[in-house]
Amino acid sequence: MTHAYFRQEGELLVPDRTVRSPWNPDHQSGIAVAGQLARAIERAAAAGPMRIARLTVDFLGAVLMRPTAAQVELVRDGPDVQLVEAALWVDSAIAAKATAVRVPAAEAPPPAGPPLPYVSPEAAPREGVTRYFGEGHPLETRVVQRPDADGGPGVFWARFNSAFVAGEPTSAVVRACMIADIASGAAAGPSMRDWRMPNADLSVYFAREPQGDWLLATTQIDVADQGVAATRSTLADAGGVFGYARQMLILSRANADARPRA
Amino acid sequence: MTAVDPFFTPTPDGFLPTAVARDPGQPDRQAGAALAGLLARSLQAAPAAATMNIARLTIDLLHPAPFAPTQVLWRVLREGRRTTVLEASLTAGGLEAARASALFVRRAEEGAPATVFAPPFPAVEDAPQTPIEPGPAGFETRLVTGGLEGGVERPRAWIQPTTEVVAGEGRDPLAAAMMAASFTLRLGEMGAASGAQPLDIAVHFVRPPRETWILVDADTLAPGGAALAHSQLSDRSGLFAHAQQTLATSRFTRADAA
Repeated sequence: MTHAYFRQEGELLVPDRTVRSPWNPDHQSGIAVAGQLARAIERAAAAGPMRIARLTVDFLGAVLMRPTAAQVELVRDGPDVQLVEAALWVDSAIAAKATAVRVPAAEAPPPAGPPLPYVSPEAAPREGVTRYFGEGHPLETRVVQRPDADGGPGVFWARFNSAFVAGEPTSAVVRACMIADIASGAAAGPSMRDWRMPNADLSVYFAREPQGDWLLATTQIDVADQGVAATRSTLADAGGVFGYARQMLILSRANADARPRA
Repeated sequence: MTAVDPFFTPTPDGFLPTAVARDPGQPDRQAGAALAGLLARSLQAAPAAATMNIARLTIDLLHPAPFAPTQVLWRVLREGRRTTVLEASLTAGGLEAARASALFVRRAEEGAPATVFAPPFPAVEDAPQTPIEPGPAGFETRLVTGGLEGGVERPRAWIQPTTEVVAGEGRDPLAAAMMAASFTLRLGEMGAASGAQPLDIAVHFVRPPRETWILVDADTLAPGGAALAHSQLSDRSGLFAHAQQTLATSRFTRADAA
């Protein structure tokens, strides 16, 4: 039986212990929160096949290692475009929210883009892009390039080796959102070493639906001196670039009190 | 300075759009830039955001806003030690035309790291005054020529609102940045037939803008499916934000074929 991140019990998703945040074992990880909201939005009602063009997640507070319920509202509904809001409830409070723009799904697969200038996942070393998701974590990462002191990007391939929810296929959009949420870890260069930088939000932009198991992120961090940094990720699959992602990172000194979310 | 009127005048229960706020292509509607400016101004004025820096502002354009009295309501989703999250809803003529969400972050402790961003483009004063056609009212635009990347000329322009969003409040850099960001798609597809409507405006700030002249450096990613327009936003001190706009496929194809 395939390992699963969550199992469904009625309307609730019950987390497996691997969902634990690396920052705090009582909390769910950001990738699990982003994945649940993306999944809920993908399952929203629609007259025809729709796909997510933009998804914005606000992490409002800690999501405890408890059963969760996702509530979805169609703010704008129509055949050409939908705006979908999703709230993630834990016990009786909303712990995270997302809004998404959905557009009609393409009828044909997209033409392949130019080949990626990176080695294949099989040729890249199996390494955690953050020290928190190590060997054996369901989100397997292969590092293509580490960020350098001159601001060069961090590049990694990732695939999710579990089912997100037991008994159902895991969509590539859910996987792309999870991968986008760890991209900051792959992009932290030498100048960021003394800083914690949890992300307060996550925005993922899809020009088309991703394809295949392995997805690639190329990530740089822009930072001014205001204590906030922005990741700039380009997302790709074997067929080329399919989207972008951004995270707003809240910086605090690594020796200060660690909090999972600012 | 071509426009003297502000985009909106305040009323006891909201705002009245002026002629400057009209969509030049659809005179019975308000321009997206005007809505972006009003939402930015309203969120920034919320007490929960006081003393904090904007980090992200995402605007979803739900329906064309009729040229009618306009209200903005906001509420606090989270008010924390380091971050505040606000939501806003813009109603025009009784119709909810836009929603927004904003992330504000408290300024850092001393010594936070910084990447140096040199201002990479010709100064405003050195760029020729070039209107974007059809010209939006209330803006001065200066096209920055050049910049061949991959054989494609990337459109870049300095954009500045020439008037206040709301009468009596002065011109505000954040509103100017959101208004300039609303031209990302227009600039990104310059040269192609235009007229397509974006679905959203999302801006991610590494610092707040310092002035109202905003350089928009745009490009478009369209590998099938939808088009994503992206721009880097800079002021005279350098890069301060990245902006995104989404466009549905069917509209993109239609506009392209026109």
